[in-house]
Amino acid sequence: MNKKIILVAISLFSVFFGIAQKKYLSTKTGQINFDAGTGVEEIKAVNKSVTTVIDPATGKIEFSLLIKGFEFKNALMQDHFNENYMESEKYPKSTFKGTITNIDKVNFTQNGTYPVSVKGSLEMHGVKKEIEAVGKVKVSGTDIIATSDFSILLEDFEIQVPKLVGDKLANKVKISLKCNYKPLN
Amino acid sequence: MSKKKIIWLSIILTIVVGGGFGYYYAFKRKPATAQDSKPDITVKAEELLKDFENNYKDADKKYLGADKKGENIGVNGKIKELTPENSSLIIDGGNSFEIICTFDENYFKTNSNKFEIGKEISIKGIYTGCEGFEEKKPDEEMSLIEEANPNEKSIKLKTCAINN
Repeated sequence: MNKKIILVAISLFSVFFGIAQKKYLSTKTGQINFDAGTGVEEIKAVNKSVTTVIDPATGKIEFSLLIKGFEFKNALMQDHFNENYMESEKYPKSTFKGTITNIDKVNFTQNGTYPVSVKGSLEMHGVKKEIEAVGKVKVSGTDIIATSDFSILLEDFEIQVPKLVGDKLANKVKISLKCNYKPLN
Repeated sequence: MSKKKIIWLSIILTIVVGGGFGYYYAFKRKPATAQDSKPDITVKAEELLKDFENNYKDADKKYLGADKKGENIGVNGKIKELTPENSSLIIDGGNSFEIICTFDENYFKTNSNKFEIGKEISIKGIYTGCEGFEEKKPDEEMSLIEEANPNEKSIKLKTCAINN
């Protein structure tokens, strides 16, 4: 009888443990801003519907966004961005698949701000490139907010800038992201 | 003033004013938002799903519109998720289909009393694309996003507003 109870307890424990392992953090409305201005002209845009998932058990992290989801203040810039630079018709999506390399330092059950390092593959404009970035994960209750600022080079993603606008558009683009994650049921 | 002078003056004025408008239209114009335009089409969330399930590539083309900038779509459905911190909400399209709507921060704040989980609502927004409809290749690895949200399909609308 005792043995049976222990067996049941073990199997229950493993079921719960299995569920705990499968707990993801996610949002579909994360924000990514970019700034490609040089001081000559402001070139900024925001995408408010970034889908992203973190697996706290492994540190795996993923982002996915639609290029047409970027909002500019200027219609002409938005058109050029989609038609000439990103060719959003041909490459509608951009994704990042990577890992938080120091996930063991983040305690998702304890409030606080944790510095994180992320490494992985960014795909946009049909080109995949390994990138690294640092950021922060802020835990407050069930709210988990990740922020990061990093830069990418347009030439790394084969995005061609005509010489005529070369002084207005920076080759090094500043990216900043802010995502409010919630545990997925 | 002589007649000639008046004619010349009006020609110059036309050029200056016209040029100003032309310059504004070409270089300073703001992108079209759903918030300050009427929807091109209004559909039920379930009907949208049917459209995309039939042929997502055709549906994508249809809702991007002829200019490829995205049609202003009005969608009727129930609010499934509210995320005020992101000025956004999700409309339930049934069968794991979601319409993800993002708003201007100030607009969302001033209208937040009209948003409630489970409430029927009509939202208009600029269509930006769909996700989750592509067929998987047999050897293709499942992404973390797919693993976390199995079978989930969605379309995304930006610069949304309540569709009156």
